Amino acid sequence: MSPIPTLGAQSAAGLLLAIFLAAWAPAPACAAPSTRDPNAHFFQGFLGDLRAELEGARKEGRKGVVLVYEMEECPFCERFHRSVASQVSVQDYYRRHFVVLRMDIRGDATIAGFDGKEVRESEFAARSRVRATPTTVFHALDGREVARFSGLPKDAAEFVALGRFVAEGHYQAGSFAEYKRKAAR
Amino acid sequence: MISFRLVILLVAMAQGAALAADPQPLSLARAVAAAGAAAGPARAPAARVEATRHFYDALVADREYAAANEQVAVTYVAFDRARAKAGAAAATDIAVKDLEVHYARALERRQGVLARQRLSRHALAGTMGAAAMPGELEEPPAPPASGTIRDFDDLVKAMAGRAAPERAAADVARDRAELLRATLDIERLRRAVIPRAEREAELADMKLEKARDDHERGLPSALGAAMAGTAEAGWRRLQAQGELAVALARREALAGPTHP
Repeated sequence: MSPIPTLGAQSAAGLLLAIFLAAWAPAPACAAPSTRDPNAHFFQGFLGDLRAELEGARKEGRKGVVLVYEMEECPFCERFHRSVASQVSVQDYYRRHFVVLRMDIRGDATIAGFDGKEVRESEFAARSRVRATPTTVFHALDGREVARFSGLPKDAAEFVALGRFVAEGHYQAGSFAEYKRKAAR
Repeated sequence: MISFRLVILLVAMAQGAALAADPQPLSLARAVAAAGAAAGPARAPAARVEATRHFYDALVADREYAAANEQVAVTYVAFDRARAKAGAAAATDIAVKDLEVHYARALERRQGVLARQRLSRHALAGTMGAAAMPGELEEPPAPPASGTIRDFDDLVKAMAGRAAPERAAADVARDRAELLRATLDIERLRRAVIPRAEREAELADMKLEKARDDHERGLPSALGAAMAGTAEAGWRRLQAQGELAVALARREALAGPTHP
């Protein structure tokens, strides 16, 4: 059996101090985080009036309003938050170009629609023909629906491409699928 | 005098306490470092391999749990719709019962994965010498899916250069067999398993695209099942990457880190 090396009490204490300091030292501020809380950095607070949201978007120079339809206990919505809406690249792009609001397809709050008429949130979702969650619907500054994306995107990059498809006006020339095919060539 | 072994134990305890109290997701690098420190110099290489294995087991279980949860939602919606449509006859309708069985199986699977999540975390904590099970895990970058397959004799020479000269011939032969196994595993994973998992993920993405298109045209679609399919393909790809990471760690433990 090989002998066990020993350290003097003073050097061992020094080593232990270094270990404890290292263990509790704050993480170095090197790389910026790639994810953030989507509730704070992707979705914006909704006060229940979509016309006011359009007005706000217009004043802030944004391209429109994005409604993300979700439902409680929807595992796909959970994945959307975890792998897409939490990504800084998604948050930065969408916050720059759109007002992003979350809608509950079963919500019973009364909201004012783009036409100013009051309606229950669930009824608004039904009239908007939302039949799956998550569904992302883009509205231009006049309230008109200009693009829709049902279900989960493949990844954050595809969701940013979707935002670009709308913000740069490519939706006027064809579908998102066609836009992606052209971009891939 | 404080023994070196005691210092190693205190290092492991300090690191374990820091990990348990840390709200940051645990990275593979930190898990491996903690396992090496907890095991001590002689057992550190094997402990690092074990930590890699348990880390990926836990991470894959997390991702599989999310996929299993999506399957529960998909099977429940199908069952619930059929039950509502059948009305009073639902209890004796074979098609409805069939969908109920699918739902029950999805629940059973999710429960099994939940157990694996806990067991793999328990094993990981044990390897790291941590008192508490780790919480969230950070997904590491995918291990290199390609690399030069080094001549096996070169690896054996590298291994011999690292081994203690008084090592028994039987131990050397066992290490050599393990090195060969790790090398062949790396080759199999890179040439067949990872590409298969990648193609499956691509297929799942294509099916999702098709289902989305059908859904938006108002045609019958299986959007939920297609979304769940991408989650299944995702955890299977991660599992393949984990197997490769473990095989690379096994080879590194035997022959050193200089071989791509």
